[in-house]
Amino acid sequence: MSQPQLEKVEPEEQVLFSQQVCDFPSECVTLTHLILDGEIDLPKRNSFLLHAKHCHACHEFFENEKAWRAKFKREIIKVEVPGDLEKTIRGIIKSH
Amino acid sequence: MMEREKKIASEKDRVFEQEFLPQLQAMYNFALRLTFDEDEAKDLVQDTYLKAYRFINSFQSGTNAKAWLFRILKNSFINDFRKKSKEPSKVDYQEVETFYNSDDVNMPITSDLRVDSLKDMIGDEVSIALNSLAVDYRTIIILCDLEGFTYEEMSKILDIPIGTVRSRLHRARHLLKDKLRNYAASMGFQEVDKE
Repeated sequence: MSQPQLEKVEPEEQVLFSQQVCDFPSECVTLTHLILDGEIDLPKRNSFLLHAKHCHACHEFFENEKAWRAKFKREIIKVEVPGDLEKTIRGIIKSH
Repeated sequence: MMEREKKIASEKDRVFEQEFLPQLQAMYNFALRLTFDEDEAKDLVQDTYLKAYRFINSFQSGTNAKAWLFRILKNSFINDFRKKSKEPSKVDYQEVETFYNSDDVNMPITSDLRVDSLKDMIGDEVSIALNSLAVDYRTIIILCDLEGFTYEEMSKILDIPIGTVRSRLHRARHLLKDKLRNYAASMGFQEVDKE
């Protein structure tokens, strides 16, 4: 999933959000999560990202959350698969 | 007739090789994070692959094999492995005897294998925090933030409505954030939300 970039938002795109600075409602928090999860339609996503370009609190939150997620993913150790596991599975399937 | 059966068998093998086996890394990682035990994780993955092979006819080739396999693994864990983990722990009498015969009486008398294997697996505060979450919260974080499943896929894997996926994910992230608040601050992540 590609990470959304604030600077890629085109100003002429449909504006569903006010471009004014908001009081950082929980809706903006939810939208940030939905955007980073890739679970939102394009107009609403772009509209929010446009809003976040003008709203300091939302911009901070979005960038912070994006960076945190990247760090979280990096820090979770993906353990090595034991060398014999694939062989064992093939053996089980073959004898099945 | 023989020719047709041969064709079906070879298609089954192709699906298994090309669509199922490439998911082994993700499957083992998920299993280990559920069980915290290398042997149990291996058993769980083997069991999952065997079930997948048995029911391979109900899998539509070209659809999401990873989600299908994760669902089987999750159900196997709930049905078999959780039951087992509720059994009383066993004492290794050989280990006790060795201890009493040894000179080093300051050594801990028994070792908890689960804790030992967990120690090997975790290497940082993020993993510790993740592993300390209740299994339902841990699972949803792994599926979403590590494996990148969509809400719809998670809904199918976990057999819960999408609304529950959203609320559970929200709760899990909140719990994780609480556990990692100090660590995140020390890494330069400011707290800017009002959740």
